[in-house]
Amino acid sequence: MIKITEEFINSVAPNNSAVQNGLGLIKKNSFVKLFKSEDETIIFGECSGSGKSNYITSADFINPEAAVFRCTCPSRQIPCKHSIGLMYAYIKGKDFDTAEIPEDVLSKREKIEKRETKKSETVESDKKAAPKKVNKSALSKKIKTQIDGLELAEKITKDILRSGLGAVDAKAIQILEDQAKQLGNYFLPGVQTLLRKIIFNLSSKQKEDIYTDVLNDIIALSSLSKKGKDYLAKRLEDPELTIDSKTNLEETLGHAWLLDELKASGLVEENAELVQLFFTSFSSEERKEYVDYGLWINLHTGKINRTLNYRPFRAAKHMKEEDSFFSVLQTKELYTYPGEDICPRIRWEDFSMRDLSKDDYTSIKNFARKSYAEVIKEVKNQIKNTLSDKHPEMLLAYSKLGKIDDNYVIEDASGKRLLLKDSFEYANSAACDLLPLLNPEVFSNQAILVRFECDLDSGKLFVNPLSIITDSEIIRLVY
Amino acid sequence: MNISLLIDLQKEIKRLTLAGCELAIDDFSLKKLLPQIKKLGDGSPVILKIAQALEKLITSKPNEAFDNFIELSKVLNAILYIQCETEIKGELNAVECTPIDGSIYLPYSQLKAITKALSARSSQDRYEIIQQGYEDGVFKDIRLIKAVIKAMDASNFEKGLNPFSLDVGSFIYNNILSKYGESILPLLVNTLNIKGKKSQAYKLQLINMYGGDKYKELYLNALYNGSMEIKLPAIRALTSCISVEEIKDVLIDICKSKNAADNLKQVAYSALAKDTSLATSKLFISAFNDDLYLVIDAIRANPSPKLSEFLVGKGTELLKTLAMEDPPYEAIRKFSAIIYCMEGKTDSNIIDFLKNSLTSKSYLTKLALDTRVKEMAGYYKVGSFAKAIAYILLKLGSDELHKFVASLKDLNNNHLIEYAFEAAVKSQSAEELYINYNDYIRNSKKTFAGRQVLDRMYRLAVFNEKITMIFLDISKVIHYPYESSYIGKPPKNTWDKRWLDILIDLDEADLACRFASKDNKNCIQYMLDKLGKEPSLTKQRTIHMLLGLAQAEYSDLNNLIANILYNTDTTNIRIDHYTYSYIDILKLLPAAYIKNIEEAAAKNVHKFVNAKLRQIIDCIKTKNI
Repeated sequence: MIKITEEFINSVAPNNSAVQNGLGLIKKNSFVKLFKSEDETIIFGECSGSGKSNYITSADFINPEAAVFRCTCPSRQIPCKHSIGLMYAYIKGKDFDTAEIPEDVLSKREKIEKRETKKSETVESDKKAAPKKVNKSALSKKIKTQIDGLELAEKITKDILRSGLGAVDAKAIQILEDQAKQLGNYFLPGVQTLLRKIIFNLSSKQKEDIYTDVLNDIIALSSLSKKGKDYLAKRLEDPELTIDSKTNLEETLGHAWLLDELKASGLVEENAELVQLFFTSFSSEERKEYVDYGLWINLHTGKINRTLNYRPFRAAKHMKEEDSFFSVLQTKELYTYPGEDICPRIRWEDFSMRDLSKDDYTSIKNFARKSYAEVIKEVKNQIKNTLSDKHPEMLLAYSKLGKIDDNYVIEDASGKRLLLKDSFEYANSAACDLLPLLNPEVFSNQAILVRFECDLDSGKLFVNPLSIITDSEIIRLVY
Repeated sequence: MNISLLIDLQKEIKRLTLAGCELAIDDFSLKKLLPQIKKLGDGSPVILKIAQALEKLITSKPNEAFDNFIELSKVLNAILYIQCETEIKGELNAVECTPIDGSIYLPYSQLKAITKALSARSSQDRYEIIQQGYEDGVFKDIRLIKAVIKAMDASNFEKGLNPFSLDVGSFIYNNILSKYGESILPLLVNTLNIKGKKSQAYKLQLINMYGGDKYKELYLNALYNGSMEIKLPAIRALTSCISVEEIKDVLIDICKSKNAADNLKQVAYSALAKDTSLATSKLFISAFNDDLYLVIDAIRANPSPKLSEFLVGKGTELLKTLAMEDPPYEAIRKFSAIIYCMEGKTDSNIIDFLKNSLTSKSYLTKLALDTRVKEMAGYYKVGSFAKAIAYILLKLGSDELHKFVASLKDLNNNHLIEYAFEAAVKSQSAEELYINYNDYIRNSKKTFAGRQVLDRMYRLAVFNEKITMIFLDISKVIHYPYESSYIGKPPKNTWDKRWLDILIDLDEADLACRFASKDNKNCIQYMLDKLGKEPSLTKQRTIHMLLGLAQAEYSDLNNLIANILYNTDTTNIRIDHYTYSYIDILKLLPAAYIKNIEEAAAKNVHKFVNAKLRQIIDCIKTKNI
């Protein structure tokens, strides 16, 4: 029996336009035939389009955790608007006649089954067989190139700081951009991104406001170059050339972790359940990518995790956009990225979902950190490190959310306080302005998801409010 | 730990980041800070580490400067991060909240799509996306409020593709912002730019709507320092919370300004309408020449004797010009304004002026009013100056003036007979009225005067109250030119019984039925005949006759209505049509006929009509009528 929800469709849709176009097909009554199989494992239909003949589209749920969408239309998006429209037609209660499963679907199902069997056999044999051989000479060549790249990065930072930021004019920016481009040849995308961030800030009109940030990034780049070189040199000495899976150094240098690598490093949690507490998407000029950014709480451990989905500007049109998620996400294998940061990055492949229950809200609230003194200590310990993330997110319990003069403040049970302040980094952040529009019960004994921010110029540490969690809802304040 | 010294050092580091790190060698400011930091580091190894790094930097060789600079910055940053403050002192007060109920949380993709449309400067389908979003209820997500306010601020007020649509800004104001309620007041106040244009004027209007007198200072600021656009709502807001005296000077300045828009000037004049000071009277008199249409409403509402004196003087002067064979239009325009300004004023000088103008200036019967004044005044049926004056006198409502207007019946070939008839209805006995006017009614098909009296009778005669009260809006049922607000309430029980026979003879069925009485047996048969072969609840004639029969207490009325209901195709009843009002007649039926209405309701697919039929059933059940 198929269980399709609106949220499921939105979660598999490549983007919102595809959803809107799919809904448009229903409005225009474009579906001329709608069918479901007797065992209700597949829905299929015919949809009129711009082509001569109707498009034949289907959504196959024979494996509910890995639904398959097929369509005869020329679109490269999967699922295409026809498959999305078909699923919407189903949940909107349109009449689906019972029909035999088409032959071609049955044969494709068979192929998938064979492929899956072969895959599982390969996995089994891989387990027994010796680990994959690494081409060590190629890898050591790559590492040496990386070391050269880090030396170049160090030279660039030295040049910038020697002549001073005041001397960086349009010509200097152009030279820096060329150097950043050059860094692309050294397998160091992380270093390249950091340099591009410096260049981007130096090109901005409000230079004076960003000098502290630029200096911090230069310090980070210099540190990264040094630490990176040391690490890579040690790695070269290691006969196995073992990758560091304890810290986030590899990711900072730009290594794209494969799920297999994470699994081999033991960074997998089985049967995890996650609830999204916050989601936004922004364009990162320094990365030249869109970043879909989500914050999730692990219902088993209470840990706050991040998801980061990068969509390069050039390929964004063809890539799936992530979106807000309002159910409990269940995954058999949850992969965590290396590092000791407060909010590690996570990933998964297949997932299923279930509705949030009252107990889920209660357990989320129970996971909220109670002592601000402990939390502040933990945060400071992280942000003092040059290469660490400076904006850890945490779920905090508060006994009171009130006002002191014009400032919103949260207070824990022991009377320790934290200042709430909107972040300038999220374009649509007006959380503090929205607080007076919430119900009075929100202002005591609830939990709040916050992002820490430290302003070195004023020497103040405060938090950006993102979402409030009560016993019955997640109030998202920012998007 | 006192970190002010470290923050000072941080500032120096920033300075050197700008100037170049090698300048740190032997730098005077750094050298000045070093002993102080060393002293601070006496009890703290971490600070001591900073002092050492600083000393190393100051004494660096040029090729070491970069590394030492980075080293110092790293250590300093680490300490500043560790030492940054979180403490907020003071009393923690409760948040004053005005919750918005029923907020929803949309997925990011939807928020992004609507935010994109809201923030677009202009795009072909921007209006349509916002409108669709409104219809889908997306603005219940409170996270969109700020984007909505920002969109109105940035709106260039372009219209949608539909030529009848509002502009984007007006749509946002009318349909979105004004629905959030007073909860958004702080956001509106915080984002108000008094130098802004139309969008800010809308915003101030909303602030006034939700905040009332609380924002008096803001309105005053907007009035004194704001843009021309924002002054208008500021004046409107202020007139309800302060005395005009307080802002009189600025209002007079606006009225005298050559740059102020007409609508702003008009509001400023209106704000001064109750001010009887000499300065205001002088302003109004001078504006009578320059801003005629803008000021006349204010003059009309102003009780100053000085202005009444001006009106009579100016009126007398203009009459001389109007007496000419082909008077200039300016004189007509101004005299029209004088008449309009005199409406409602009870000064004896004005009344005498109007009376004399009617009786002694026959040329006023031939001159028509200025069209714009006519529109402003709502003198839709008034043709000449004479008729306008008669109308004004009649509207004043005193017995003496009723008698005066009634006496004008024969003046200038019955020019004012319709007003004289109405005045007579209000001032003469039923019999006297019948004697004076029955000949006119009898000859209504032959003479113009008779037709005018008949028309006026249509406006004045209504069914008895028992009948009319079943309708929510009787004017939609008797939509022959009956206007309850025309000159006054229609008189009751002033009609002679003999009118009925005359009207039946004339076959004026729609008027005769309003005089129907159980004492007149002819009229019942007449109305039954008039129902025709195919009576229907969607026909006005049927409704009139049924009402007449109800007034005449016709014994078989219920069966008659039930039969007509059975034969009426109720699917033709539309909410946007008079027929929607007609079906109220079913309220006359007793409870035994409820099933007939239920059957009709079952047949009707229109949900509003269906709902109305159910309301009628409830009404019958409770016997409210």
